[in-house]
Amino acid sequence: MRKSLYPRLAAQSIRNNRRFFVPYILSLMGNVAAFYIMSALVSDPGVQDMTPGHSNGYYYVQMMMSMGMFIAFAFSIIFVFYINGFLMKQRKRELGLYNILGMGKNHIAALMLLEGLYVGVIGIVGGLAVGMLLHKLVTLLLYRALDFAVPLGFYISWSGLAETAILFAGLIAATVLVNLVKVQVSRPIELLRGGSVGEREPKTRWLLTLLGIVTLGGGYYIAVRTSSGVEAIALYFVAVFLVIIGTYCLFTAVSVFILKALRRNKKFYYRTGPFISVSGMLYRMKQNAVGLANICILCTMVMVMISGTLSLWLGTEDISQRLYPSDLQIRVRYFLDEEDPFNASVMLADAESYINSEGVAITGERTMTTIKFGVGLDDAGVFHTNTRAEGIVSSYSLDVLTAAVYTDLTGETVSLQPDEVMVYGTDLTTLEFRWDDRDTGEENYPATTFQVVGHLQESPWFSPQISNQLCLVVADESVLTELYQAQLAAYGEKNASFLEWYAYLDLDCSDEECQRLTEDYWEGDKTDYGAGRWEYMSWNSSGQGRSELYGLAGGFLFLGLFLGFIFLMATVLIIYYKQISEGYEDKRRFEIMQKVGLSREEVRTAIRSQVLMVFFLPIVVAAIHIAFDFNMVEKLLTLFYLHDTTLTALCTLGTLLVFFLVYGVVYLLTARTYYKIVER
Amino acid sequence: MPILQVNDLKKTYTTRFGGQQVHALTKVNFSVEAGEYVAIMGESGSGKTTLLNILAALDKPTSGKVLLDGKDIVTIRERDIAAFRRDHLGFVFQDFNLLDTFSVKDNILLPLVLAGRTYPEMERRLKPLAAHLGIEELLGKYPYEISGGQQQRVAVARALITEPRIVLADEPTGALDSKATDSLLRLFSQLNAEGQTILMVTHSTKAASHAGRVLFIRDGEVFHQIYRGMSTPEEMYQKISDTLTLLASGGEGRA
Repeated sequence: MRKSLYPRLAAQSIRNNRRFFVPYILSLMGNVAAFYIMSALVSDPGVQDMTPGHSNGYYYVQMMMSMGMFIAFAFSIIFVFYINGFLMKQRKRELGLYNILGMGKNHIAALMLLEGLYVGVIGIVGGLAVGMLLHKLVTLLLYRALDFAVPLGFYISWSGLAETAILFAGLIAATVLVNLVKVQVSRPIELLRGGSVGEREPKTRWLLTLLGIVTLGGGYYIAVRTSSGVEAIALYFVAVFLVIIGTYCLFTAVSVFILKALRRNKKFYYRTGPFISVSGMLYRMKQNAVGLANICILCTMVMVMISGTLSLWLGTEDISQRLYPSDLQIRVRYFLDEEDPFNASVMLADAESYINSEGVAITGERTMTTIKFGVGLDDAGVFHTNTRAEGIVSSYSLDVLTAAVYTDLTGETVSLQPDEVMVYGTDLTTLEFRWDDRDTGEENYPATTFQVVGHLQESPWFSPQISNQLCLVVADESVLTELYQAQLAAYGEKNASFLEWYAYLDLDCSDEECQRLTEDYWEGDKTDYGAGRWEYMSWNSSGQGRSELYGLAGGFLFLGLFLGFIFLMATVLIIYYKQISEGYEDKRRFEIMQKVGLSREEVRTAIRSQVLMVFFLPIVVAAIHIAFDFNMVEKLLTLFYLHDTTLTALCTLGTLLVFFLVYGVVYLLTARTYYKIVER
Repeated sequence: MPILQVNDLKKTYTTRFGGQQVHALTKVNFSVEAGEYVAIMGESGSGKTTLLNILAALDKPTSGKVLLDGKDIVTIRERDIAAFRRDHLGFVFQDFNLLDTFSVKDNILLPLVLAGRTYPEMERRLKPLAAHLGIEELLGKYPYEISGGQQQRVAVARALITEPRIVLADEPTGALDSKATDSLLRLFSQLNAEGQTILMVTHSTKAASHAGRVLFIRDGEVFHQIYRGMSTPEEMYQKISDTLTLLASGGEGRA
């Protein structure tokens, strides 16, 4: 054969199979573009320059983009292999025909090599081009999300281009290699028949059905029962893992089980609609179950990512206001030291004089002392410092405020006796604390009991939480000190919590000025000016804190949207290929049925109901997953200080709604292709 | 009155490119009486399949009439055609056209399900029919689990379950080995003896030799016909062969 034949044959073959190749190449381009953009963002010097005050925001973004690159590429591997496998299955017949018409296996190999080369070159070069163009747009969006100033200019990351090209070229080469091996070991007659191997009806698989019910139920149970952020992060991947397994079982085995039960109901089954759709679904489940489960899991991931990151980002303003209620926060941790006690007023005076000496006026000032330590609640309603004691059902982090601070924070005056408290986070009317040792279990300090005189609906004091917050408002500092001593005895010197002193200062200056103040403060010697002994001190400007928060939340949102987009693209493509392959299979079925007396109208109805079912089953299941997952996501978000259930719920609903719409549009578009194939 | 009457049937296709006209059927006239067993023969491209598709109401003629029980099926409205086909016609195809998604039983019941009959009625009809055709043990199996001959018997059962006025068979022996062919032709003869009207399109001389009358189609019209009369299948076979030879050599016969 002439040498120039192969390039032409390969191009011809791609053109003839454009129905399969075009979406494949387009999605490859999408993956390449997305990967390049993330890689370019990691190295873009503009991101660093634009970060206000050179805070950590930039590093968060970089870190997250690196993580995103990893996920995106791992996903690309799965995705490209899936599509390639599908393509090969559809094309077996064509390749078998070439083989029988006298093309040797080496010739076919050459053909496939060239095809791979074409696909790879178009996909990668095109993807990089798209990536370079979109990079600027994406940067603008990212900066908007991060609340950064937008840089000018057009940046091309050469290292990003090289990295992307090499990785994806390797990926395409791997698929070509797999195809070559497949062709090499196959026999022509198998290739020729490849497309139409009769699928048998799937058997009911009891074990898988049972496993599906158990894993799904287990995953849901964990998700619903999770009561704190720490628990959520510890169990999240367990729950996700269980639900993924459950989803696969659900689609592969439970579906068959249900369909067979439907078929046994003769009165229901022997009617036109159910007769066609139940038998069709049953027959179809074997090869489609995994595809549907994939779609379902992808949809779930997209929705969880987007709704979670979106609510985090939307909540950032609120979080930053609560975390940084004033322009400047000074925080000091200290032990009660008999010889050289910490003196808050000296420290505050020092800070004030420093700020005034810099020429900045202080417009507002508030201070408070608090303590925070962990306790466990047992099944008898008693709190223990030994959270490993028998019978502990949940753990809390306890914040203690004085009545005076409570008045400061809320504006409400209260008067409490030393044994009376107001409490947030529990319904108990009597609070008993046992100060038991975490190692020996012995009580190191006499138990303390408080009468609850008021249950607070909202936490008066916002503090970073990793478990359920229990907030006590006690009579005065002496009760606070008493509790400090008790937990000191229980936890021991090494593990006990510090007392914490906060000063919130409002300053008459810009964010940048304020930031500079906090940085310059550390230039002098801060150990010996008569404020006594303390262990730790920090100065935080709200501008810096806010920018870090936005760096984190904006980075997450960006990543969520970005990966969400990639996953959505994959979902769309899988659906598209599914429609095509099913269209070809259903064509014959519907032809036969028309011959034995199914009208065109009935054919259309049957097709519609079947396509709708196959199409919307995954997303309905995904929506159920989301519903169960909601509690867990909400708890996870508390790790990022977000405690706004309404916001999270709205974001989840909004995401669900938008996703359903997008999905519906995809459905309409791909269903057309399907109808065209079936009805022709 | 004949069960089926075909008057001046004409079908012209226009090719997609160039608009050339192809005359598949130029002028077809014939009729089938109740209880008859008619075979239509002709070479590939003679218009057999076009004719059968029109009779089956799967295709519309360019002009002419097809009367089933005196009613013109050409004028039936599009949305009634499926029901008409289902209630009056039974089909047997060359490649059986059974659906792999259904068990044998469900394949046979398909037309009744589409017609919206109740399940007890389906059962009532299925039992004696399956016994008659000797396929009772196959009912629970799937089409891919049984032989070609068995599949064709199942297809015959599907055609008969609606108790059609006429069974239309398109090359029913085309995909069968000789043993299965013999068995199917015996079945057709038996059904015909019981009063079932059958119209079969074939180019197998052997299949046609079992029919009571054979029509020959050439160049889109009925060219000749042979009645069995008192002939044995062997004598009939000889007559058909002679006619086919005449057809091939281009003789000018007329029905």
